[in-house]
Amino acid sequence: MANYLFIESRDPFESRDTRFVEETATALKQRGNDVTIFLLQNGVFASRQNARNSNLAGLAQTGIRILADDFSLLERGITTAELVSGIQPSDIETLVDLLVQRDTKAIWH
Amino acid sequence: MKRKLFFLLLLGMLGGLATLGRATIAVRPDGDDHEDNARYEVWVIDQSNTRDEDGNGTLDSGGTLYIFEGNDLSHDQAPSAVPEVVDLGSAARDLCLAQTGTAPVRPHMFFFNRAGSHTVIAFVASGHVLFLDTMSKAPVQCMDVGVQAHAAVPSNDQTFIVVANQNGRLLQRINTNYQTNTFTLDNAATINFATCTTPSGAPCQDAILRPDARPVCPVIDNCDRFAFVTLAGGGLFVVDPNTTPMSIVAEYDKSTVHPDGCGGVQARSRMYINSGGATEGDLYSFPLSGYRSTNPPNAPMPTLVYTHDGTNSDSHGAVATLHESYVWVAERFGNNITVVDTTSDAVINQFSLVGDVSNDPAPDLLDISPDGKYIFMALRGPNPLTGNNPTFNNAVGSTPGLGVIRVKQGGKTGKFVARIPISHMVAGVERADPHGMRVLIKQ
Repeated sequence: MANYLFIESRDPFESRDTRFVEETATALKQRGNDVTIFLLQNGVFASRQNARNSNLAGLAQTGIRILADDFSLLERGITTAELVSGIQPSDIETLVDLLVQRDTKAIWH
Repeated sequence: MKRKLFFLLLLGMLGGLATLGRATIAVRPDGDDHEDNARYEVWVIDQSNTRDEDGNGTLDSGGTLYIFEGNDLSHDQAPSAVPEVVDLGSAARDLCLAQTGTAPVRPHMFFFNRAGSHTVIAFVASGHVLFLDTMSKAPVQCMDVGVQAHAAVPSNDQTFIVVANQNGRLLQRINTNYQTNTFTLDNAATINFATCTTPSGAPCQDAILRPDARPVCPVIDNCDRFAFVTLAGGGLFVVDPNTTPMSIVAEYDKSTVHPDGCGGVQARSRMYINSGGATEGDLYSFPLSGYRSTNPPNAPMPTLVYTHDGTNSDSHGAVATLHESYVWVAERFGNNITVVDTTSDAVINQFSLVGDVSNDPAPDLLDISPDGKYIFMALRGPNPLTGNNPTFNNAVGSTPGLGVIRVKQGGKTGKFVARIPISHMVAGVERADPHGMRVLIKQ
């Protein structure tokens, strides 16, 4: 079992291939791995509760840990209260800590 | 700075860690740390006449371009900002007269080409389209496209301009080469909305469907595939501007899209278009795909984001905030800004512009500073020359000038913090009527 860390910086409304992260993260989780998705920059737009076509709530329910960069949220006017249930605000320091954990594979998308 | 150091550290770590095949490692160039302090200017045109063409003592042509340094427009300094002033009744008028035989009247809307090298000004009362060299402000070419040039909008690829010849009921294309200063009205590309038929076979102008098919504003998507053309009497055409002639790829009737829209902005892969008029204020969200001439009318169907119809609204200018988080729409009559979440198309706020800075600002066109901290608005005057219904005086404002809104909460709201007055007194009457306004990012 390994730790997988997805860093999603792409806008789900502008980039159709953000589905790649959802599908790959789900598949890895189903194989028993620890999976974290860290939303960064325009990647945080999918974290809004009412966002069109967002699948993040479903991902969180599968046990995938979903974090959203607080600075990216702040710049886009997204407050913690607006986040999809299961998404936690986080920061770059936490991301660095996650990256240096043993057996962590990082995927920047 | 700390955040940037972390990003550098991240890059180093990611370079040393295992990655999957489709992963990419890069800091996106549109990164979040908007500390670059990009230099910019705010251009605004007072469309009131400045020149007496026939010597009878009244002013008949011209207009005035005001250029403000962006750094002068922060809250404390803004009211005393000193602009560069260009009289459009001088060299620009002389060039138009020499090249077309007539003087240009009422500089209404203008845009910069993508490179910012040229300024394209549409004169709504005379039909002139004027090209200025942005750096020197020198006029380089002028053409008369016919009855009215309400808006002349440059494409992103810089190869053409779409012109809404409003009272001529024509949608026209000017082919452009900014490097050689070659601008050619391509008559073969024209669509005549008075006589054309839509893909479904309906008349473009029709007493029931689209009773007044005068094109008001063409809004071009970021990829130059579509021009969303609002119509004075309601309805809308989505036009492929690349074909010759240009071709309608989607048709909407007046019950689907209401009259007199002009504000349009692309955000989150949607095109937001409004409708206006004294008691009209709707915002529609259109997709950017699915346009086929085989579609039935009103397809693909836009989402009605909100309607303020029946209230003193008159929505007009529109702009996206930083990162396209929100779309702001100004209401000239309502003196307010409506804020829309672009990920859900939900209205999340509306705030008033009435207060200490102005008791009746009549906000018109909007644009945003490159750092996203300020949104600027043209403020109409007490004697508006366009867009006003005298029954309501929807476009009448008490404080003509340039308005500065400080963006707050990431674009959720804002505060009208300053106004730079623009005045043009003629025989003791305030004639200033700012309308066209754009932010120029300095290269």
